[in-house]
Amino acid sequence: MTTELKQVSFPPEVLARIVPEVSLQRHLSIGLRPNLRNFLEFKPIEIASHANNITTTNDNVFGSSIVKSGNSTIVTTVTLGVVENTNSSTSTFNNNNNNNNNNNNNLTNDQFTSIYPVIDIQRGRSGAPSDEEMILSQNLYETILHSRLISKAALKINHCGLAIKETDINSDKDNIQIFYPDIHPQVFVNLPSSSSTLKKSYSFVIFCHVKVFSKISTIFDLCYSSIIDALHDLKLPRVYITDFSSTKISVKSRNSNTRGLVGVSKSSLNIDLNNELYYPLELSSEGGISCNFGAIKTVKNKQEDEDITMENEEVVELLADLEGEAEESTILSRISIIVDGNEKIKRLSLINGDINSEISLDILQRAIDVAKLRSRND
Amino acid sequence: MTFKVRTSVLDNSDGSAELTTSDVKLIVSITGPIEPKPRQELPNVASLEIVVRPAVGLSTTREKVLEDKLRGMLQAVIVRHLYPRQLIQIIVQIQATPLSKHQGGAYSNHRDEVEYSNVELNAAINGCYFALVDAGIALYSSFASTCISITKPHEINDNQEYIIQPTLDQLNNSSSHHIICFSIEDKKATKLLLIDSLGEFTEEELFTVISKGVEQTELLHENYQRKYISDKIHNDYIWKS
Amino acid sequence: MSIILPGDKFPVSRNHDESIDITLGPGLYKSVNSDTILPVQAGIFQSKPIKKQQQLYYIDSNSRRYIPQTNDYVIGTIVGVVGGESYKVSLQDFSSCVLLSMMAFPNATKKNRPNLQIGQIVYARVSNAGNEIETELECIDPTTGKDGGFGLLDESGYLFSITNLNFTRELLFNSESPVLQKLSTRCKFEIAIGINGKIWIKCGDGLVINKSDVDMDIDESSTNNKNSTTNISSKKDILVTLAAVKYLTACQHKSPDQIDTVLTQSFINI
Repeated sequence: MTTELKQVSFPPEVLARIVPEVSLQRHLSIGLRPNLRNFLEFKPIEIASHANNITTTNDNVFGSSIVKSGNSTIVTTVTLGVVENTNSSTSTFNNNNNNNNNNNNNLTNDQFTSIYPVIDIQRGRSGAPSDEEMILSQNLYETILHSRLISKAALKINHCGLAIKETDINSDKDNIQIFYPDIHPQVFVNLPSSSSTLKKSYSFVIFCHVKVFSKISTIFDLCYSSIIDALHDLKLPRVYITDFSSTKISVKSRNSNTRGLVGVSKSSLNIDLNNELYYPLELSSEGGISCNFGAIKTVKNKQEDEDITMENEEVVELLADLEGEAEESTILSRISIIVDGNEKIKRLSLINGDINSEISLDILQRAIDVAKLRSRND
Repeated sequence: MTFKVRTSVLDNSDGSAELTTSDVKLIVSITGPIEPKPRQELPNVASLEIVVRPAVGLSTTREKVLEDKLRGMLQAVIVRHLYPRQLIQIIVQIQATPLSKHQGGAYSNHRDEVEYSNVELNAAINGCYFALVDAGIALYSSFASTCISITKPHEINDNQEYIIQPTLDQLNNSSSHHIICFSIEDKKATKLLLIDSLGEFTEEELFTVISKGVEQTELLHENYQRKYISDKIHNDYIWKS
Repeated sequence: MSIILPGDKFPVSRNHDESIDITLGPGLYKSVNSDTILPVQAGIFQSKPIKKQQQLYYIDSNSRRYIPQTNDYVIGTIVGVVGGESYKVSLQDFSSCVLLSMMAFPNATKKNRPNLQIGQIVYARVSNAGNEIETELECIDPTTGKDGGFGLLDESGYLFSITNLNFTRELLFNSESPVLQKLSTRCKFEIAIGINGKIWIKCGDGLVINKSDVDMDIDESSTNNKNSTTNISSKKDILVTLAAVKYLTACQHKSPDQIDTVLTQSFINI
């Protein structure tokens, strides 16, 4: 007895789950991607930095940005920490205090610093960060560090203020006034300049908290745009020292986990929340736009008009801005490029994870061209 | 340039190599193909477990990134179809880094020092090649990696300087640094396997670096890889008359 | 000796004589999509005619991890029973276990099954190996249907491991290898070589455990003449076995002209 085997057919969405590579190839053969974009079409990004009121409603947030792309939303908030500069680091400031931005060439990499990103991809559970989150954070840290975006000098607190308590005899109330050496030089004339608290120098440390909602694609690009935007939005506050109180302040010391008193002479470091005195962070270079590409080998049916013969031709196609499960699991040869408006490349990471769909130099060239075009348009 | 390799250094692993370059020292150990844990098993190819351990302390996000990059590159060169439902375990133990050497062995994560983890990636790739060959894992091709940095001219008339295997000081003065890894077929660098570039550079500089990478990886293959591997094979067949 | 590295060109040009069939051995790989032959391991390129019009090419290389191939002779440890029909056998630590059917013994029937315990070792032939199926062993010589030397290796011998698998292949396949010939000038031995890096060796009568030995351990002062003589010969055999193990383990790292010195050194106390 023989049984006849029926041909099983699946609807496209089922096929995409069972054999994503076949589904992807079928899409590509008709010139479309599973997400219905063209091969080199990027997903539109919406950036709303000044339109949000995270910064104005939260005292501890000094910069923020919301980036949307499709369903994915990325919220970046910037908070600050203050650290005391060590002797060795003060020498690096002195070298380049007067250097302007155009003369970056004479600087060394240790005169630049980076941000401390914490990526949090929301997927309905809590716990230790996943590998993906850790890799993203570290990549962002290294990219910003080596692209010489933030110089240590820009984060140095130059004019540390002094809070002075004056007791009003009439009302018997304490009146606190904050003086800054650059705004109120007359106050500082009489002060003993050898005051130990004023001799110490401090720097800001930037923490970026990136929350990712509904992630459906590789999100390095979105996180990078979001962080760069938040850094443009970032306003640094002034910092002053109180010489009289021993109030606990929320300044975290780098060497220990205790929050509280900083300094020896019972003076404490405070952040002045008077936002009229905020000043923007000076970035040493442009952030640029980050793009990602993938390469995959496809078989094209070349139909010739005169003969009816079909000729199969293998072509490696370049796809921009990978998205969706089929593309992410099937395409292993990838490039990630950051280009700024001056056509300078800030980061390039190429991994040919699939030796058959190799990114050749021609394809790399094409990817760089597209990335440049995109950074110009933006 | 120092580039020293010892293979089969570990008795209990299936393949191992110790690589010493002028600033990085590391040991790579390979075990496999072995039986995977159920969650690691892949139906038609071998799964890779890659662990990078730092010279000092516990592994951090830095090591995770190194593991990720190594995995992306190694999965392209290992003939994984030959070992379906098996596991290949690759462990890279870094023993010395430019930073730890720079500070006379004493390690402190001082925030004024810039770390160049890509220098370790470069050494890890080269170390993995020897360990994989020692373990007899099937590879589509040989591969070699090199590190090149670009120093911007201080004067306008100067040319940019391309430094191969830069030291920590040279890296610190560089405007960009690049790791280039090529597959090597028949003594010729053929396919790009990995580029990792950080800093600020132009397209023209990038392609100059790539062409220098071709030269360097071919040299590395010719001068070191062939020599060390033929030494190893002679040693394996020492009992042969 | 022609040394070849992964990615090198296949050293034989295949166009000059189309009539010769090519058989590819270990270390060479032909990808499914293309027609090119790739060396994937580093080693010594070998070429041998096997039949008329057929040429065998392979790369001889050392490895430490055993991958089962059909017709390999191996030594395995019984580690369990699967489904009451087969034994689960370990060929190497951490490798996937293989199966040894209870029917794969000479004269085995459903009623008459071999009785092997966990921990016992067998000498067997790989009857069925491939990437997509579970590897199977058998203890029957396929040409005669008899045991042919396969089966349980008893406890009178000593099992040890050789890390370099190329050396075990040499010992098993090269009948002119001086290593075993020289060993035979020192002692009488029985040997089973598994190319999974395991060797079982028994010198003289090997380790004999009989009741009187056990009694001796309990009461050492007893001086039964007959018992002590067997014990002494057994003790000597154990020493010789250990010396032979030391000799064979050392030989994998020594050149042929050093073998004599290694032999004397290993047997120095005997």
